[in-house]
Amino acid sequence: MSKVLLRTDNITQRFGGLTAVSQVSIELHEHEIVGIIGPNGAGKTTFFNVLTGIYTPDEGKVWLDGEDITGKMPHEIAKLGMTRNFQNIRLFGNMTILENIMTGIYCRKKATLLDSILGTKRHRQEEKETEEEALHYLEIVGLADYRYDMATSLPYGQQRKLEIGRALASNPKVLLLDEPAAGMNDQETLDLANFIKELRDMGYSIVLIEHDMRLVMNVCDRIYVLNYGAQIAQGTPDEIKRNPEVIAAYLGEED
Amino acid sequence: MLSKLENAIAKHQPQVIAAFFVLALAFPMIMSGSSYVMNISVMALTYVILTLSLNLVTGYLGTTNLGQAAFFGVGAYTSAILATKLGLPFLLTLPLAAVMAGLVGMLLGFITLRVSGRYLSIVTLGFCEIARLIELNWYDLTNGPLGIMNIPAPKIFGFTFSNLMSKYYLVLVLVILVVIVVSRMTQSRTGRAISAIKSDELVADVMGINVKKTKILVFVVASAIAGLAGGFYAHYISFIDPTSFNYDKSIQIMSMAILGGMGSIPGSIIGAIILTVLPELLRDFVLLRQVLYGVVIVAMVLFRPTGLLGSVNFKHILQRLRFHEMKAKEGTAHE
Repeated sequence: MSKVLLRTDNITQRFGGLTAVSQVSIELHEHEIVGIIGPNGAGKTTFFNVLTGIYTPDEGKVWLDGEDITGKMPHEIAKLGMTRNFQNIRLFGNMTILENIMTGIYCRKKATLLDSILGTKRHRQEEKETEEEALHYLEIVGLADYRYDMATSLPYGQQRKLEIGRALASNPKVLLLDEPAAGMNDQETLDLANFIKELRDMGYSIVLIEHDMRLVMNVCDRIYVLNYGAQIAQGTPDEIKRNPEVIAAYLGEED
Repeated sequence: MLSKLENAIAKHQPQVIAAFFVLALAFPMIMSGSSYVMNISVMALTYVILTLSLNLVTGYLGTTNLGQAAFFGVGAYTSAILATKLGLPFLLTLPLAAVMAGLVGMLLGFITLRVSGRYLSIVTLGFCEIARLIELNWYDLTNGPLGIMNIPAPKIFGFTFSNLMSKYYLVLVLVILVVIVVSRMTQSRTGRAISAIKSDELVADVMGINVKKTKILVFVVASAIAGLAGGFYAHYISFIDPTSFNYDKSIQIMSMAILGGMGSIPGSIIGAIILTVLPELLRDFVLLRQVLYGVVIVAMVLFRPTGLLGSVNFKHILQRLRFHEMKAKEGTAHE
């Protein structure tokens, strides 16, 4: 089996008396798409917030490419190679599309404020590189023609793509996608599925949270199922489809 | 109509900047050195620096700072004390004024990391008041309410900036310096981090931006710039006391930034000039001057909340124009 890029050991996250995520352990291998599914309120997004350092878990550890990243700040984790999009699109509305992507590249560059004020070679070279690389990512998400428009002027589906592009621009080892198909119609969802597969073929490793079962079953190599914060099943899409516990969690149990 | 004008300015930015530069250079000659006009001009340019500094924290970073006058005061007192008590030359007192204000700005930066929104505004307001009280009560250092007198005129390499025209050119050089710093700062890797934080702190963090560090950096630079203005002001006016750096002054700077437009360098320049010159024109109606600032803020919030130029980004406009031209050319080439 190929290298494990992301691993969690028994992650538990509590909010007061509520245990939002309980003892969740997952593994993501290189060039793999892993899905995390579960009914509303199963703790999927909370789990992502733990992974990206927004929350520090009460118990458990997160390992990114062999390094313990538990308790690190989000910006440190981004630098180490894990970025994400957001379920409710959160673009930088005060920037152009190009600048949004350029901000994604921020964590890979080094020019300091002093470099920029003095206009040093490092500043000039990095600015040039940043813009060229940003255009490359805009080509990937198909938004290069709108590069100088404001980010929020895009239609909904395109905004989602831009947000994924911004995460890609940090060139992450692990890309986390939080319900990328939310609010999309059938055709858009199909395009998105193909796009996510293309990303894997480009070499990205992806964890996907999604409600749209067709998308999940279509693109994921393996799936983990959460219910009330607990991990109730894991396996290939076919195994998950037949798993009685999963069916019960989604459809309710027979008496 | 307005957008056509914006497009024209965006296309000819170097020419427009050059024209304003020539105008600024020739201005004392045009006014044949009238001391009344020159005094107002020097003050207007000092306010330009202050407004630009506030614009960094409030316009670009999005932190409502009601205490910017405190840094103006820290800079003024630093250079005044160093010049009168230690006899340090202007070439040292001016940068030290900026450094001192920058350090105090770092302190405020650390405090403000813990609060946000209106609470933060209140903290900055209190900070301004604390600075004033220290200036008023630390008698040995600041001479209290009597203020510091006989601050020497700026002097560089044996040349004394004694007449108004030379002071005008001196502050003009400082303005140009500050404009270069602010524009390079905002159009850089750091500048994008600042915009990202303004837009969404959490997302900025998740995208790899060290939010705390960047915020403090902005506070330090903005405060240092205000301190620079203070350092110049002390040597220019030759007498300072705590009343020059109180809450009213902060509000005055804030109204200039609001009028000109948040996050716009030309906006800050225009806002500061208008609100320095207009009260002078209204000198015959003293009471109206007090009302003016309030009216300006209310009117702007109602009719143009982004300020005169706050919603106009000439860089973006130019990028779009060029891109459309390029696309149009490609289109005709294919035919």
